[in-house]
Amino acid sequence: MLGLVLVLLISVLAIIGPLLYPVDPFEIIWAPMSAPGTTERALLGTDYLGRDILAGLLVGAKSTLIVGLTAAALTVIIGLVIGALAGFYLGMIDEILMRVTEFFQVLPPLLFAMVLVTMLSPSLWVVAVSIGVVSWPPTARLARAEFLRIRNLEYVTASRASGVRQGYIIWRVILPNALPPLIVSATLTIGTAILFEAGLSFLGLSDPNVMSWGLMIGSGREYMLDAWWIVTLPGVMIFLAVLGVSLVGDGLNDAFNPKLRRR
Amino acid sequence: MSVLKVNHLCVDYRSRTGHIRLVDDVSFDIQPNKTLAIVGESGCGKSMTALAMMRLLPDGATITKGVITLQGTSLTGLPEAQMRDIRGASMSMIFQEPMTSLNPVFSVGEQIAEVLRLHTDLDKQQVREKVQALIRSVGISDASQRSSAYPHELSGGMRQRIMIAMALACSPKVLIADEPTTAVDVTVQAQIFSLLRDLQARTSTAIILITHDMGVVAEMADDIIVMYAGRVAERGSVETVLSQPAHPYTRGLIDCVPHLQLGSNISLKPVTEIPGVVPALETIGAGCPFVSRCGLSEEKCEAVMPELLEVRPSHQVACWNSQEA
Amino acid sequence: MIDQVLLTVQDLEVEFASKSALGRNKRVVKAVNGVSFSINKGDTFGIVGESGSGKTTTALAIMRLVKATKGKVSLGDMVLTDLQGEALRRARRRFQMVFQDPFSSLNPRLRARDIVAEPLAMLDRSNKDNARGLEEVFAQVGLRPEQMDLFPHQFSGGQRQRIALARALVTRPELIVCDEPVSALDVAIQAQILNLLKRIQHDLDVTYLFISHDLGVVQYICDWIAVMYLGQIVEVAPRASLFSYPLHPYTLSLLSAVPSALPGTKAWKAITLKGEPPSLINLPTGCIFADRCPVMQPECQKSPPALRELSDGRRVACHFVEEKEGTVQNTLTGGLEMINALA
Repeated sequence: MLGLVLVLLISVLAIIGPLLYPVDPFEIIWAPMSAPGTTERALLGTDYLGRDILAGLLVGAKSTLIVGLTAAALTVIIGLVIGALAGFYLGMIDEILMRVTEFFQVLPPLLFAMVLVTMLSPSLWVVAVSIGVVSWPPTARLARAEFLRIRNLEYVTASRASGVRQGYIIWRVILPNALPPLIVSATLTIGTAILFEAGLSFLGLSDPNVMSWGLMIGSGREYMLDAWWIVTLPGVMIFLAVLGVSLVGDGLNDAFNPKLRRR
Repeated sequence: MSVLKVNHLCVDYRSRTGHIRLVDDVSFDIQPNKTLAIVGESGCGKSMTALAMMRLLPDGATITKGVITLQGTSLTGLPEAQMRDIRGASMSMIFQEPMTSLNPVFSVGEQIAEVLRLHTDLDKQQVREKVQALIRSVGISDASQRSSAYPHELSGGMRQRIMIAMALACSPKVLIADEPTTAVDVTVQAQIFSLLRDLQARTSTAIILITHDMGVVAEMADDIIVMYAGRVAERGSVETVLSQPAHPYTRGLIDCVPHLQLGSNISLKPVTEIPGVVPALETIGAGCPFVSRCGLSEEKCEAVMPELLEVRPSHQVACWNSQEA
Repeated sequence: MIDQVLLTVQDLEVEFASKSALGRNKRVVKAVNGVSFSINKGDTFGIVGESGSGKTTTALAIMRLVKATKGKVSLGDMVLTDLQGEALRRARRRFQMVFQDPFSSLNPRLRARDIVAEPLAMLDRSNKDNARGLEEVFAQVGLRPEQMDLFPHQFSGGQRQRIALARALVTRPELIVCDEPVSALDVAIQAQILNLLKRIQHDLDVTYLFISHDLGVVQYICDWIAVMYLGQIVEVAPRASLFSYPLHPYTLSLLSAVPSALPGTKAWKAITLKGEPPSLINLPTGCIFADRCPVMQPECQKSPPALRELSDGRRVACHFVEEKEGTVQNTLTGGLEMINALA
């Protein structure tokens, strides 16, 4: 599927690209604001400082992917644990966990992430963690809903009748059956995280020492009208990455459903 | 004088791997004020036959051969607009699960009224009165209050009665009932059958009753068709078929159910299993579809599909072995 | 052979609280309202009733899958209702359950062998050696060893019930509770599973608590039968007695309503009960069956009849059942011959 191809392509670029094209994206190599194709030294042109756009795209791929995957992983882990516990135990635990979820959900994500990044150092990892910390509420709700649905199904009752422990029921009986929608949601979270990071970079809050697509857009936005490629090319890469991840998520959704429907 | 005639009906299903024949050469006819039971296990094609008659087949299934005639009019070639006029008016259907067949967001009175509005010219006042009369006629007292109730406020038995009221609102000539009492309690089932018998006597409606329960057949039906893997295995009057079943499958169906016996000195007959399972329709060969499970099968059974031949008056069987009997 | 009692249920009650929209009126639904009976080792004890009778809730309460509000359940000399936590978990190997819907009672993500092995993981070492081998139990339910690696969706309904039965057998339980185990299956498959249940009981000496709404099935497989209505037992009798001389008017109506398909038997007419069963929230005072009983008398609505024991071990809850000189009769309904008179 197209999505898988796109994602694989970008991953390959991220890993191999800088090796094949070992140009430091922060190094000034040519005249500033040269259009793509005008020089062999910078195939996709240069930005407002004269830095190589292509290098920026390749190195940026890696940081984008790191942020996307880390943030999504964090979102899923936090959301899953909280949602699972709330949906399984109900009662007071559910009430408390849901209030916590709502609290985080109500926080304006961008502002909160900004606060975190400003309080701690604006490194790439902090950015990834901040994004994860503000994005988990919808995943928690999804996990909780799945647990609520599944816990009443007969095979869960049957497991209880077999004498298994509660922990076993949560992690080995319900969870594997609750995973499909969560996995799909996780792939979509990757896309959101990438966009989120781009936004933070745009505002100048991301790691200025690591080239990322968002950083390229952010720093180049003043020159958008004069040198469109500075902003557009990274933008296209973000678009392709998010598109690819979303398509993979759609595909996973379809792949999981027919198995259930066949029953 | 038959009110509904089905001749050599074939329904195919188009799947990824090709065509599957769901209903294979089914023919029957039914008279007014009579009940015909179509019996078989799940997957035998009985529901498909019913849906074919109403032209309500699911996507992918089509009538590929055969003619269905309602009071002389051929239904198979009829344009959809005219078919809609017939559905609910001259021919109606009730389903197994009344909870999912009734719209949960409309009151039951409203749903009965809708049928009347579609097919009759009654004005608002007349429709309201007819709805209440119909609710009363299906044995629900307190009709004026009940008609504004929503489906979830009523019990399963009552919901099924409302379905019957809707189906009979326009006095159809044919009522198709697809497992109408499988989902209700046995005492409610008795009430519903009593109701159907009364209504049938009053309106001379022909009833086609689809079921897997031989007890229900014995109670309600005059004639019976036994289907297996889409084909008619045996057909005839209920009296003859149930007392002298000629097809091994029919015998199997009767013997595999523990029948309730009342009284002292009961000898409980052992329940005899029909070995194996219903084969997937794609895997059936050229011969009799029952051959893989039949204790009497011979070479001829595997090679050639048996035809429906008469064994005694008003009793036909599709089985090579029964011809000798 | 002395009849040894395996399961005793005393005054079992299960209540569900339903909050109304504003949380003010907490309506209490008594799904099980004072149920008592006992099952002898090796018997099949059936509970019949219609929807709302409380039979499934009773089974779940006995299995400790639903909380009993009152009452005592004992398996042998172990009081199940007193057990909690770890002790309860360990005790579960002695009583297992087969559920009604073969399509939802098996974990779709586990292979058949893992589903059947699940109860084994909870046993300690001494009991583990005692448990049946997986191959052995698969063979006993009629499945082939190569099928052990398949997933539930690759099996038919009847085969899934066999897997469910294998899972129930693997810890060598003394009691198996079967909740409508054949209701969701095609009739030809029902026969296979019923015969399988009988064979297993004979070979492995298991005791069954068999819940069903199908009286023909109950007659085929049960030794003793309890009839439930609205959360209470109205009659308990051994098989021969129940079907030749039912004493409670509800039992009589229930039996009469079953359509008869056996050729050659005189079909009886159904006694049609008036109205609908009352809701479990507003239980009537007096006999719970009074407002629908075909032979209701004034005193029926005043005081509820107790479940009285008769000399042959039967118990009935009706004011009009008398025992005189060894013969038992219901003075209002008489016996089966009254069905056609009452219908």
